[in-house]
Amino acid sequence: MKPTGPSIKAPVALVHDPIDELLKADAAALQAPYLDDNGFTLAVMDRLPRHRRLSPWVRNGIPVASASLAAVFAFVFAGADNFLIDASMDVATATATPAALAFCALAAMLAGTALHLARAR
Amino acid sequence: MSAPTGPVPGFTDTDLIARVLRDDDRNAFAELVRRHQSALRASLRKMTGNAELADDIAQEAFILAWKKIGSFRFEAKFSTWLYRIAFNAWQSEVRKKQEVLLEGDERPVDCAIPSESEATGLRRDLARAMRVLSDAERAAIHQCYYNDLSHDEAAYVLGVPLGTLKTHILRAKEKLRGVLGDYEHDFKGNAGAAA
Repeated sequence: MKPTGPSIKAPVALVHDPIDELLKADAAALQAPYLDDNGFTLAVMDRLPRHRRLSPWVRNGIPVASASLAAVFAFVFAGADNFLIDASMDVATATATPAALAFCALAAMLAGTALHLARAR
Repeated sequence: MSAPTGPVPGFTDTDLIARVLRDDDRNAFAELVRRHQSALRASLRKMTGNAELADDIAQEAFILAWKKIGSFRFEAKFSTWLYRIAFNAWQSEVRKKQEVLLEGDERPVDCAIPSESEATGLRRDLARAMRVLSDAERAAIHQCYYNDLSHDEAAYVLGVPLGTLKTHILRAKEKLRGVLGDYEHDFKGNAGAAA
């Protein structure tokens, strides 16, 4: 993020600098008056393409569906009736089993989905 | 294509951008164009010295801003972001012209030189002196003095590190000091007399 506070303007000079003053004077002399729109905005709006946006349902549905799919795969491929208990025990004891890996992937997917939905609000 | 239907008063740029992002609100974007068109077109006119070309580039910049607004992260002011897009569009225009001229075995175009047409006296000398600067130095001077941007903002617009921008400014002023040595002497004299 850029700092939001007032920024230091470039032409600030602590010592007398004739070139600095000349440039500032020239910039002031060239200061253009307000340019009337004269149809400029309309011309821009006429040329704007339409945004191709996914509906919020689709945008939010993709990570939710992915997380659900990951959960199904975890249950199916980990092959354990007590998947959550077995996998969490494996994770706790740092044992690299398919169930532990699936559990980690599932947890990451759910966390990502939660983060996405929170940011979408 | 729908025309802007009316002003959106009382909204900050941030509010308007949020409306564009959330609702694809074309009226909100039209208000952004209305707010920033004058400053952007004026800046581009100074850079290009050609009102028609400046307006074309300004239009292009607004259209690009509409297309890319999803990537706007509020890291800079909307106007600064717009200047950056416009500067890139101008650079791309300059490159195209240089390619065309080089293919035709002609002299490459100058870029970002202040117009001399209306300048008189010392200002004309300054405009001439600006020709000794490199494109990068001229662009840095233009953004900091003629667009009145901070060093941070100018570095963002030009897409260079802050240190590089400061170096460009220092070198540019050194070169101008060398070319305008006599003038500098007069200027000091006048300043002294005025005091």
